[in-house]
Amino acid sequence: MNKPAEAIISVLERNGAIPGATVDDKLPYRFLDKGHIDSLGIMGFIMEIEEIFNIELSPEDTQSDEFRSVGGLANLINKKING
Amino acid sequence: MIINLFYKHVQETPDKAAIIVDTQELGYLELSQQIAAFSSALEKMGVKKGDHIALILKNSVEFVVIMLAAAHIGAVIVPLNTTFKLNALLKAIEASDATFVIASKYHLDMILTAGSTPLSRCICLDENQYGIKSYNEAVANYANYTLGPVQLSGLEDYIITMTSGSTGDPKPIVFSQNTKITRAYSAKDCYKLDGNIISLAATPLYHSLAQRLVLLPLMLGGTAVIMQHFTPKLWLEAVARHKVTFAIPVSSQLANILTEFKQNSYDISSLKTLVSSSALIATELKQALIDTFKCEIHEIYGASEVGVVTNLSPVDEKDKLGTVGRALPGIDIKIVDDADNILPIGHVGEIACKSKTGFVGYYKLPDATGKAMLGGYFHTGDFGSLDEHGFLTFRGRKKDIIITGGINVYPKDIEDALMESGLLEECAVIGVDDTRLGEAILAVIVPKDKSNFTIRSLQKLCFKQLADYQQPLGYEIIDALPKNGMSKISKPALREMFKDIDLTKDLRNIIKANN
Repeated sequence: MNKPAEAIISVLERNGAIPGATVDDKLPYRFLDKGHIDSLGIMGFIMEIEEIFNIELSPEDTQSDEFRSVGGLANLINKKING
Repeated sequence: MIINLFYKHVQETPDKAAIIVDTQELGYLELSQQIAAFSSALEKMGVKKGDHIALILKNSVEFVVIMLAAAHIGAVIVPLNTTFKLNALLKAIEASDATFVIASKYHLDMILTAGSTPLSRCICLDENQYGIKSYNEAVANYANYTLGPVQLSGLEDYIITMTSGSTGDPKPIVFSQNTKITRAYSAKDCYKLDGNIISLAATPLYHSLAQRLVLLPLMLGGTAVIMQHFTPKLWLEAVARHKVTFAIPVSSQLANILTEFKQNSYDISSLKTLVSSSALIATELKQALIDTFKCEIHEIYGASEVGVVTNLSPVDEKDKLGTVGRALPGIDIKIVDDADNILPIGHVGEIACKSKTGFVGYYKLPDATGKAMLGGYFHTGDFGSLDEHGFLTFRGRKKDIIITGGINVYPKDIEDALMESGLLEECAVIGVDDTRLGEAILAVIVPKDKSNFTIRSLQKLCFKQLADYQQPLGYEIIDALPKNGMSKISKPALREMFKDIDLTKDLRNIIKANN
């Protein structure tokens, strides 16, 4: 079970479905490239992820390539949670 | 009637593509079948002519079906911003007297928890745990139903839009079907459109702009391509893939589209007309669009209440590029002073306009309607001047509004939220020029106790209370806000103070600029 990925998918899918039947299928989805979150929504998205997992994402985190996909962001969150 | 214009094309071109949403394409006949089924479902639920239905939906086939189902029945749709938090949603539902709600599970979870709308008056887009009818269930159950004839005059209310006034104090704008038809035909005449139109809607359907880009082609027998998400790359790909002929991006999208187009190759030779809307664009950008895109470039000025008022066309662009064009046929513009006296040519004053494409009024706000429509002219709250040839030059805003990403933001909403924190002596929210958004929101704050204060606490509060488009992208702490001679906060002074600030540098690095 990939809790961070599930949470990210749940937040993103308020803005429309992500292709794929399972969580694993959705991991490669690059939500910024697809415009799934737009310029006006990105700050709210970051804040929500930070709230859910009680973490802080730095500019280096959010500007990384890891941040741009569901799976990459899930990895980033796991690293923050586990120190 | 809107729906009769649509049905004419169902008869004439049943298999022609009516709408394309992402990979879903519906022909005219197929779309009409979904409309018939869903209209029947609404009627069985008890929806009658004149009932108000709140829609909290992303761009989708379902949104269009519901728009046209309401047009058949004579119900009134109240499309709401999907990023509204619960308080703003409830306020909008109350202000518009919406007694039915159609929304995704996420939004219905919020609304049902608040207890404001009974289950029996809700339709959920998704499967849900409440036993509420889902959209697919509604359409499947009534698949073979046919509808009775349309029994409307066109004067009935059709859409109530909540894009005027603050979210704390909304001014719901009422449009009749006739208004929407008149506005569509005004665009048809201005841009010489016909049933060959393939339009592209790249903004949310809860705004009038996207509604126009869907209703217009469906009334003419053309095709409406609707984007679910916007990036400049996706926009250009959509134009190329679907051979789009007509588009009205919001002005903040255009600079990014232009940059992406210059960097990568796209075949957009199908595009005949591109219109810039929602906020003024710089003359340099206008010239760059004209030089780069091999199609007609127009710029329009208007307001939700009156529709498009002026158009700057290619014929006029050579000499009048710094203007927003001349009044469209049937529109009268005057420039007035604070006492509503007409000012001479060349003088700067408030832009007031009389239009046959005007709104019905603000819902249940006759005083506000009367004040806005003084002498039969809508007072825009914008400053401008007219030249001797009737060309309008926009000179700034009288009203306290920020236009970010093409959306009107009322600073008071954000200021009220910030002051509720109890952490501030005073604050002011202003717009600063921005390359990505047109304007970006800056909160200038004076904390009560600088040593015991974090900006993060304000960001969290704004996130909980305000919609996406209302989030400040920057916070600046100062010792005291500048005041004018009347001891009122001077926003012009603040805008001057922070005019060179770049609020979206990090954001652009996250989005990677022209994605």
